[in-house]
This record gives sequence, C-alpha cells and structure tokens, in this order.
Amino acid sequence: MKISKEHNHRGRILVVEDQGVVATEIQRCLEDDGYEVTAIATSMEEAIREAFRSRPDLVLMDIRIQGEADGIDVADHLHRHFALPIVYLSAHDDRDTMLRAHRTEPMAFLFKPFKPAELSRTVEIALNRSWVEVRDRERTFLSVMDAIGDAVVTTDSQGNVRFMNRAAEELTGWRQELALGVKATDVVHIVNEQETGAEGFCALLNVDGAPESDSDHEYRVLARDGVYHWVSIKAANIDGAGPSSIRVMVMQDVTRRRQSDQALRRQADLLDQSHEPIFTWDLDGAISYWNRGAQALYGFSPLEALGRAVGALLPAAHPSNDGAWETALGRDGQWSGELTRKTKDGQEIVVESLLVCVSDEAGRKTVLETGRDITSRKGAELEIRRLNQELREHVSELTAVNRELETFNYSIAHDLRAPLRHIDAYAKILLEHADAGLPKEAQNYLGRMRQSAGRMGCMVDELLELSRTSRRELARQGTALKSLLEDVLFELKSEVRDREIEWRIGELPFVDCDPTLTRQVFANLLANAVKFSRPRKLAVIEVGQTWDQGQMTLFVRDNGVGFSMKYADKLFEVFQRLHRREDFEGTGVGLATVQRIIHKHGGRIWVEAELEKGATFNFTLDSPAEPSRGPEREEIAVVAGAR
Amino acid sequence: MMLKDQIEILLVEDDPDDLELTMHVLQEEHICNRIQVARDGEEALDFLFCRGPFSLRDPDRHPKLILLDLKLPKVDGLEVLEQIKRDQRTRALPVVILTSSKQEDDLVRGYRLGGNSYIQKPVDFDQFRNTIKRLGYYWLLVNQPPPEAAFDGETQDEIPSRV
Repeated sequence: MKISKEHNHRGRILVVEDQGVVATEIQRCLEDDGYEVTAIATSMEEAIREAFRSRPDLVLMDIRIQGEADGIDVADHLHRHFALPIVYLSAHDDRDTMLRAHRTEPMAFLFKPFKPAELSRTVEIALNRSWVEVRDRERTFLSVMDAIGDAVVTTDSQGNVRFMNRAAEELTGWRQELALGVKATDVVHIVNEQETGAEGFCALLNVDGAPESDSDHEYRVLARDGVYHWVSIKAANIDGAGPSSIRVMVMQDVTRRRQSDQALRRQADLLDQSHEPIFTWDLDGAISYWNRGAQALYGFSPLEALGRAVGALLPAAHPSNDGAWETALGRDGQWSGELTRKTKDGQEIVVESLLVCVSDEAGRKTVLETGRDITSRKGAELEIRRLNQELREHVSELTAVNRELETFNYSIAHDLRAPLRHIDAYAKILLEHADAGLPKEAQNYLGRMRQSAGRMGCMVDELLELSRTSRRELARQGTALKSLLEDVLFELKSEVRDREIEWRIGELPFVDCDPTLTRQVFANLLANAVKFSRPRKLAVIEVGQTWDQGQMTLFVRDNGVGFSMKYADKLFEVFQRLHRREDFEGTGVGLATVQRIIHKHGGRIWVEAELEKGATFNFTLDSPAEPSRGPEREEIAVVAGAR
Repeated sequence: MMLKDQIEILLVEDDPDDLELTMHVLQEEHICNRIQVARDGEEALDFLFCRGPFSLRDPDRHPKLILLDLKLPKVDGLEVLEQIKRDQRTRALPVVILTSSKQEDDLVRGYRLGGNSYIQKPVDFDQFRNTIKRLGYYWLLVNQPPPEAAFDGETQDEIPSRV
C-alpha cells in the first residue's frame, strides 16, 4: 500500500471524457489551476489502464463514455481497486443513474455545462477531502500495525526499508527512523546455522506477486541488542511489478514455541532412551506412547504398538490380574503390582508394573505404565522354593533313615544279644549238669562255645558304641589334654599292674575339643599300645605333641609288635584285625571308633609302623585351616617308669 | 501275713529261653516257687488288675516283685510300667526292669515312670545267675514289702515326686 504523498504539485488528475473538446477545456482549466493532468482517457479500458499506471490523486469521470459500460461502472472499479476518489461529470440527472452513481461514494458531482471556477472549486474540495481520508486511513493503519504482534517490514523494489511496525522494531532492535532507506537484509540480520538461511530470506525479499511463505523454514534473527529470535516469515509483493512495487514481510516470533518444542522433544527423547519400558494408553485402551524400553521388553515396535488396544497387544497370561488394577485405577488413580504378560514371541514374562492415571486439561484420562521385568527374579524365587522343598524332603528322608537306624541298633542290642546269652547259659548249664559224664573234649567245646558267645556279645556292644559315637553331637570346650590323659592312665594302669611299662608323657596342649570323645580316643589308643606291647619285657609308651607348619599333631607311640605298613589302610575299618585272635584279643572296632571321633573334630589320623618295631599313631583335633600357636620343637619328658 | 498260695514274683517275659533260664535260676537257687508268668504286657496287666482270665483272682493279694522285660508283644514293658505306677492299686509294687537293652532312652523312661531298678541281662550266664540270685534275695528277703496301706486311696499326684 502506498502511503507517502508527493507535494511538488497540487494534485495529479486523470480525466475520463470522450468528448475531445470538453476534455481539452477541462485539462486547460486544471493546468491553469496548477494541477497535473496525468492522462485523458476516452474509454473504460483506457481509464483503468491509466489509473493503474499513473495512480492519480483524483479521477474526473464522465458518467457517459464510449463502450458498453458507462462511467459509473468504471468509477466503481477504480474506487474499489485503487481507492481513487471520483468526481462525476454529468449532463443528465435521471433518478436511477444518480442513485447508482451515489452508491460508488463519489467525492462530488459536476453538472455540465459548468464554469471553470465551478470546476476549480469542486476539484479542490474533493482533493482535500480525499487527503483527509487518506490521513485517517493511514493513522488507523499505523495503529493497527503497532497493535499486532507480528513484525511487519515493507521495502521498496530495491529492498530498502520503507516501513516497520513496533514489533519489527523490537525484533530487530532498529528504530524505524534509522532503518528507513537501509537495506532490509541489514536491518533483519539473519544468522541461521545453515548458509541457506540468508539466501532463503533474500529470495523472500525478491518475491513476485502473490504472498509466499516459507513455512518449513524458520530463521534465526540477531537483533541489534544481541538477542536472538527465531521467526517464521511470510512475504508478499504488492502494488504490482516494477519500480513502484512494495514488498511486505510479516515475521512471527516463534522463539518460545521453538524452546518449548525443543524441551518437549528432549523429554520425549529421554523417555525414549530409557531402558525401562514406558508407555501410555487412553482409558479406552488405545496405546498412545511407546518407548524403546517397551519395545525391548515386549518386542513390538512403536509402529506395531501405537493405536492398538493394550489388552489385545499385551494379553494378561492370567486374566485374574485385570480386574484388580482397573478397580484400583478408578479408585486411587494408580496401581502397582505384578502382571504376567505375553511378549510378541509368545514368551510369558512377569512384570512389576506401576500404573498411573493422568488427566489432561480437557479431562481426558491417560494411563502411564512403567514396569520392570522380574521374570528371572521370579524364576529364582521359584527355584529357591523348589530347592527348599527338596531339602525339606531330603531332611525328612534323612530323619526317617536315622530313625530306622536307631530302631536297627535297638534291635541289635535286644535281639542279637538275647540268643548269645541263651547259648552261653545253656552251655554253662550243660557243663554243670553233665560235668562228670562229659568227655574232656566235649567240655572243651562247650567252653569255646561260651567264649564265642561272649566275644560276639562284646562285638555287638562295641558296634553299638561306635554307632552311638557317630551320631553324637560334638560338644567342644576348652580341655586340658594333660589332665584328661592322666584320668585315662589312672584307669588303665590299674589293669596292667603286672606289666613293666615305661610311660613317657610329654607336654600336652590345652585344646578346643569334645572331652568325652577325646578321652575315648586316648583310651582306645593307649589300650592298643598296652596290648600290642605285651610281648616286650619293658614296654615303652609315649604320648606327646609335634608341630608341623603351624599345625599341632598329637601322637601315641609304643614299642610293641607293630605291623606291616602294607595293611595300614585296613587298620581303621570296622572288624579289621591285623593279628591273630589267640595272640591279641579284640573286635576290630576300637580304631574305627577313634577315626570317627577324629573326623568329627575335623582332624585326621595316620599311622607309622614297622613289623616288630612298634607303631605310632598321629592325629590332629582340628582342621589345618585354624592352626593354633605353640612350641616348634617336639618335647618329650619322661614322667615315670613302669607300673 | 503270708498265704501259702500267694504269688511272690510276677515274671513278665515273652522270650521262652529267657523265661526258661530265669525260672531255672530262681528254682535252682530256691529263691521262690510261687512265680506267675505273663508272656506279654496285656497278660501282665490282666493279672495285676484281675481282668479277663484273672477276674476271679483276689485283688488284694499282690505279688512281692514284678520282673519286667521291656520288649513285649501287644503292650510293651514301659507301657505296662506306666499303668502299674499310675494306678493306686498297684503303684506301690516294686518293679525291676530286666532287659537286654542298655539304651539310654529306655533307662531314662524306665526311671521316670517309677521303675524301682533297672538291670541289663548279662551275656555271661554266670553273671546272669548271680544277678538273678542277688535281686531275688534282696527284693524277697531283705526288702520290706509295702504294707496294705500303701495301696490305699490318696491321689495320683504323688507319682511325679517319686520319679
């Protein structure tokens, strides 16, 4: 829109008059008054063409001109399209014509024939009226311009700024007074990251004709005060082509929108990046958001998931789950718990889910679901439960077996001993009754029968003792081995008064052990030592301790008959004996019992022996992992000799 | 006051050999002749409480001693002991447990239920003979049997104090 006026003449006037004489007369008259006559048009087409070309300030229009349309139609067109003020020249005044003419809002009517003075006055009044209207329109226009939020800049055909509104001033940091005549590209400083930004802007500046916009592109504008703004630009070329054309740019500040868009996008990106499955669905069931974590867990891509009903996409493996959360969501707005679902490939997984109901401003409800795959944890729990169950079964089996074993022992004690007693008793009675009548040999046999029965009775008793020892719980306590050993020796010595024995008892430690069982170890080992040294005139029996790599070892040594080491591994087996019964009595249970006790303590026992050169039993009472400190050298003190 | 036909010993024993040998020793050593044998727990209880085949027996004539095996058919020895010691009519009777078992469980329960003595049958017959002889002399001759009053009323609450 052309808004500036030139005042180097009183006014430029287009005359539309097909009567040559009249037209010439009018032109002369006007020029005499100092007006410029831009053209004299004689037809409608010519009038329009000239009006478009010269943009007069006023049109003098003869109502009757050549052609089909009369002057009123032409005037109407010019008034409407070029906002040109019209003064009608008319020779007749019929009502209809006047009414039509009035509707085109003319400045005035001049009735032929008229005097030059009349023409002068009418033209002057019309022009003045027109300028007042223009100024009004201009003021309105400026107010409107300043009121709108978008920045508006107009340039001439050279690209120099002709106008900018307040929003444009704020956007660019330029005052309009300073910007007038400056290149628009300097005022609107485009600093896009891409080079194309400025070029696109130039293209917009050179736009031809119809309004154009570059909606895909947003420009970054650097204001004079150093502030950046993002704008979208619409440009249009108005007032035709050529030097008088005007370009209008409307720039919308989209900085805020861009920032919030970006923030939203960043949040969405972050959500999407999360490994946790996150998705939303409307209360009617359609999935509206589906992140990467959800894809990873359930196998569906966003394309496959979005828009689908959640119940259809992720069917609950156990339908009983469904009712619970629906009720809770309605009541509390959220629900958490375990859901068993099927993934895309049909696998059943257990998800610990949190469902939250969110309402937007419109009151529309969306369910946000996050979850965690706890399938493996569930699996592990199940496995543990299963193992515990197995363990319980094993324990009860074991308990049953133990009970059976006890019953077995009990029946051994009762049922096996009874017949032995009977055999012994009957043999004895027989001996007594038939004392005289029986041959010596028969008496001998009866005697041996009784011995066998007696020996078996011992075996049964010792076997029971062994099993009792095995089942006994260890009761460890700090024990002085020295005094424990003295107790054992006190009992033992009374049984071997007739023997010549040198006892060498060394220093013995204070250890953590079950004293009752340890006492039995010493008793059995010492009884063996006494027994197998019987052939010696002077038996020598040593008890002591040695230290080896921080581990204390106890030993019992004798100078008895010993044995060949090739049988050493049989020594600790039940009922295994390395000597003839008539040489050395015994059942072969004693050492087995000793070994069991030592194993119960976590220790070990081993033997060094040689035939006819004695035997040494070494043993420990705890595992090598927890050695106790003590003297490094073996200490043996001779305590007493004989008896 | 002793009646001629009074039973002196109730021998509760199911094993025929043990029965034979025990009787042999008791008679050989002239400890007593009036021995009542019960071959299982039920028979022993029937005798003591005058039931079944013993319903005509005079309940006031108590044996002087009960020799009780533990492993018995029908009602086992410990159950028999419990019933004897729970009933005021019999609880004063001396009961000697004579058994093959030396199980600690049996010992503990035997004494807790009020057994007066606990003897394991020795394998060696000489020892067995001596044992039977000594316990017979002790309980039948040395020991003063409980007087009639010992079998009267009073409450059962006394039993635990005896255990």
